[in-house]
Amino acid sequence: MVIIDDSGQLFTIEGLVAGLIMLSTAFIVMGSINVYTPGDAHITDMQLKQLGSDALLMLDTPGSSGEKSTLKELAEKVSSGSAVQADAARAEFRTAFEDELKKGTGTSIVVDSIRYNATVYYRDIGTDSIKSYPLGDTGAEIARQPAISTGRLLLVDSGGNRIFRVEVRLWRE
Amino acid sequence: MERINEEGQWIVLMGFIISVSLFVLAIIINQSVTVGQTTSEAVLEFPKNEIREVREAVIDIAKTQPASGTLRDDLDALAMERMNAFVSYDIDEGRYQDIYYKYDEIQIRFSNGVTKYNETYWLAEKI
Repeated sequence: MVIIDDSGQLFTIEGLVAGLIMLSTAFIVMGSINVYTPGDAHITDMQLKQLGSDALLMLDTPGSSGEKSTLKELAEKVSSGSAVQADAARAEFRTAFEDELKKGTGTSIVVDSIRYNATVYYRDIGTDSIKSYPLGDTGAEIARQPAISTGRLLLVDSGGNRIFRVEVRLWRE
Repeated sequence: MERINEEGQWIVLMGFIISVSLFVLAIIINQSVTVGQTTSEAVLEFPKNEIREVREAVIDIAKTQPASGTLRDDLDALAMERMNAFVSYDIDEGRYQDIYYKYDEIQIRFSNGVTKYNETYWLAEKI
């Protein structure tokens, strides 16, 4: 075919653009199937979980060789049966854990929105069931955001060697 | 069709090109919201922390009281109740020995129904 005049160029361009718009529309419709909704909070959950387990790992690292880690000492105190010691351990855990969290986020108390609730789980030999001691939290909450949970298994000396699990539930307000 | 004015076609063409590129850029920005989504899902699904916990606990057991039935029951119950996972281990003390060390063979098995993890760990202890 021989093109003898150059009229109708605008119509050609218009046709091309119309085609592009149709293609883009199809692309957007396909793409919008993956909608990022607030309930789909995997990214923040993952970060929070990592932060929590890192904080627990730091607490479970002894200051020097042969020494007991803070977390082990606290778990032993909480399980000792003495209310005074358990209360002291809870206060100590709160300070130590919040200190670690602050190091992780680099935030001040004012803007730090992380809340937590820590529990020590152990096996009751008599009934062979799992029981727990509360280990501390950020204060009484009547409602909370969806939480993630992370933990650490500890070999502690509580009248003979036993295994405890310190579990922390973390969420953001 | 009537004769149309064919002046300024380049300007019109540039206009179209610019609007189409803005369109494409908008699509790219739109997609960037979900960056990291798949990675995070994979990270959360895989029980990395649980496996590490179990591993460290079993190695601790091997170092202190390898034959203790209480510790075995503790670990079993805690794993089942708190991690929804089945855990078992075998510790073969002094499986091998040379002049300086004895080696305990530790077998660790972890399964939460989705992820299975088996490991043979050699714990070297100075004689």
